[in-house]
Amino acid sequence: MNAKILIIDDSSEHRRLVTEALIDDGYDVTVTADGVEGLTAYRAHQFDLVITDVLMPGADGLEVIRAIREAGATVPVIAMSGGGASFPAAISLSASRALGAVEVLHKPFRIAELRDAVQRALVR
Amino acid sequence: MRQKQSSAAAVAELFEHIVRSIHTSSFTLGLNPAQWNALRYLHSASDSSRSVKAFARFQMVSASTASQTIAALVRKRLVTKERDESDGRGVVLALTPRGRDMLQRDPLQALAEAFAMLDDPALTAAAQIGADVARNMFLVKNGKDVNLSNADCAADEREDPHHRR
Repeated sequence: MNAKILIIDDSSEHRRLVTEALIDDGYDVTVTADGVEGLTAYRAHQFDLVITDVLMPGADGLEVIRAIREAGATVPVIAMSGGGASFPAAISLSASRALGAVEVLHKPFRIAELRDAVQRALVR
Repeated sequence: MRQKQSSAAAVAELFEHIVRSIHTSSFTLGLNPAQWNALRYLHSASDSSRSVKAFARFQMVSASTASQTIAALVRKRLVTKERDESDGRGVVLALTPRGRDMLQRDPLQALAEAFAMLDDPALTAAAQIGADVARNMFLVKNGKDVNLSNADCAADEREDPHHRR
């Protein structure tokens, strides 16, 4: 059975690129556009992997990771960030890792790097 | 309120001692804190992020500052510059075996060991506090209200015209 992956990203272009690549690879992908929507989907379904942007309006990626870990879930999480004026990528990705993300991707990244990170996360 | 501000100031002072201690201990083995930071970055960065430009963007430092840091590491034979096979024009940075050996003696390990001595709930709490304080610190730097809740922080990021997604 194909692994089920939840993608949470408020950038429509980035969301499309990531989604297309993972669907091409045969994964069962659910896509959401912000942290609140993402957590709702997460609670309603069973996922093998969560890929979340860090900087998003509403509930951001750090809150998503925190909510998942506070629920006691061990599902692997990949955090993505390009950073911003309010929160540099260096800090947002370190915070993601500290909160329990198993892989971090610094935007922009190559699709090959995403694929490698997904494979590593799924075999943990 | 005054009690809370006083406690916050005391905690800030405590953190300043920790940060200063790490900063001071990072002037070691012929490297400075920025150079250690660059070694760590190159150790964990993906292929497409191992460039001076990506390092500068990641750390939010100027290109010339990043360039000087990397140049020092190249002179010390801890980092090499190689042509990027994927586009033929760019340069990819890589740690040398000596650079990788150096990271085995990373002064940040002392702090990592101190955190590892905490029990699991305390370590989780430390991670959450660290993430919240880091986020609040940048809100303060950008002139936002110090006492924002997490939800307010996210709302403010939405209104930040420089906020990149």
